[in-house]
Amino acid sequence: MKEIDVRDYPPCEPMEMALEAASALKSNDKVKIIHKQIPYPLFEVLKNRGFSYTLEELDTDLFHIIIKKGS
Amino acid sequence: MFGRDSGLSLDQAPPLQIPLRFFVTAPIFGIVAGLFILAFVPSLAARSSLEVITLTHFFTIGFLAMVMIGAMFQMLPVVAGARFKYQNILAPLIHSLLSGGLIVFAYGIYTYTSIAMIVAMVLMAFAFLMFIFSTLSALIKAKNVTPTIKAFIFSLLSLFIAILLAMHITISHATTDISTSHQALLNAHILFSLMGWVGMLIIGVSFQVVPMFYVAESYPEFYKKHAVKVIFISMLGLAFGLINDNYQLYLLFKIFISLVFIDYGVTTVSRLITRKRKISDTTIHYWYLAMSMLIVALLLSLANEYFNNYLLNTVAAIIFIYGFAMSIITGMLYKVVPFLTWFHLTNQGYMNMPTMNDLIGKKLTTIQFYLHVVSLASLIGLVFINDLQVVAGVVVFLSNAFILYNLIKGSKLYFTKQGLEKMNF
Repeated sequence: MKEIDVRDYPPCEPMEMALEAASALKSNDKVKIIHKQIPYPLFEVLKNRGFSYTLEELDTDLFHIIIKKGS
Repeated sequence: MFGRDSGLSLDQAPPLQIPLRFFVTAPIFGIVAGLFILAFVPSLAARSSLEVITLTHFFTIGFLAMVMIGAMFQMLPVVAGARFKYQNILAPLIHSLLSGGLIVFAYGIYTYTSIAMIVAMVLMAFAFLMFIFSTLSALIKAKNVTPTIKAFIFSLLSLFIAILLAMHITISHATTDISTSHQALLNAHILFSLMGWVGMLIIGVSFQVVPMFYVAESYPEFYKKHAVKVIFISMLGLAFGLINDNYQLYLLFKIFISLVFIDYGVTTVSRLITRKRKISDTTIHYWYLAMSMLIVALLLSLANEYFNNYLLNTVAAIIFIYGFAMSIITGMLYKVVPFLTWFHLTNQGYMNMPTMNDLIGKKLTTIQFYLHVVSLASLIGLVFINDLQVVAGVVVFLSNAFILYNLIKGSKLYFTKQGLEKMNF
């Protein structure tokens, strides 16, 4: 699974990077976004664009968001 | 591991119009403040004069509270995963009550008209109390009480105390029944408004935005955990000392609060200096200005305990309100408004958008920043030199007119695109 670490980027770059990676996904692929906070605004955009995601909370400032196509 | 893709319904940002109506109104009251200086404020030396009280509230309620309330509508879903119930009704209602209340308040105080003071008090108390209780009820439901949420809760409790004190003070004026403890209660109102509501909210927001927007190191865990608790308890102690005329207690807690805020200022500057992304924009200048002004204001206020010169306190208050709070809030508006415009358009499927930094443009924000610095200097000057009335009025007017222009420019694209979309259908 492809991993993208967006922790060292200011808004709106993390969302741009995550959306770009999500758009490039093939039907059964997944991408993991490594974030330092829960990106609630990203979730809304993903949902509106037909992606689903899972959030893993590893620490207070470390989150993995795994994105795939469809529900 | 837990999924968030269903349920919670927390990831829906409020429509752009909800926070934006508050953000755009703030510089309008700033413009009104500039005109008010031109017409009615020959000097800022007497901080209890009716014109200075009126002017102060144009800045504190008209600008600061206006943006802070609007920002809370925006931040609650992001920070706490919570939403305001009935936000589409609540936001315009609070906004109208506050704006209308402030205009009536200005008239009531400046002309010293009892009925207007009472009407204004009722309108604004409704607005603030609705805001406080709806925000608190959303915050206490947050599953994870982060340091930012804790700061918001203490800030709102401070606002609640400040509003109760304001109601008491207003009724005293309206009924001309001024008690012997009036001055102590007035100082407590200023304390809970500025250090409590404004100060702690800004600290809470900083915990979130400094690492996020500037890719800076997070604030120290110990500070995040204890700072707002220490400030709030110290404010209660300080107020107790004020009301009971216990100078030692008052001074002790004043030093405590000042140290915690100075620590915040120094820590913020050190975080920004060592930030990973060294890109410099106007908002960074605003942060540096705000933090240095915060420290200067606190040192002046402490120094006044020794020098006992009332003008020092007035200068400290101007520096805190205009130099610290307005600076940081303006800087943040320049980040938040373009971000929200970009986000809402992206969310609606628009591609190839300009970056958020291009939406306003560095040149315009830089010019406004310098106007802000000059207006701060002229307001301080107006404490000592009456001849500065016209200069101060004009630059405060221009600075806020520029903020308004920049915010409209930063959000215009959203409304243009909406308009285009409607035309296409």
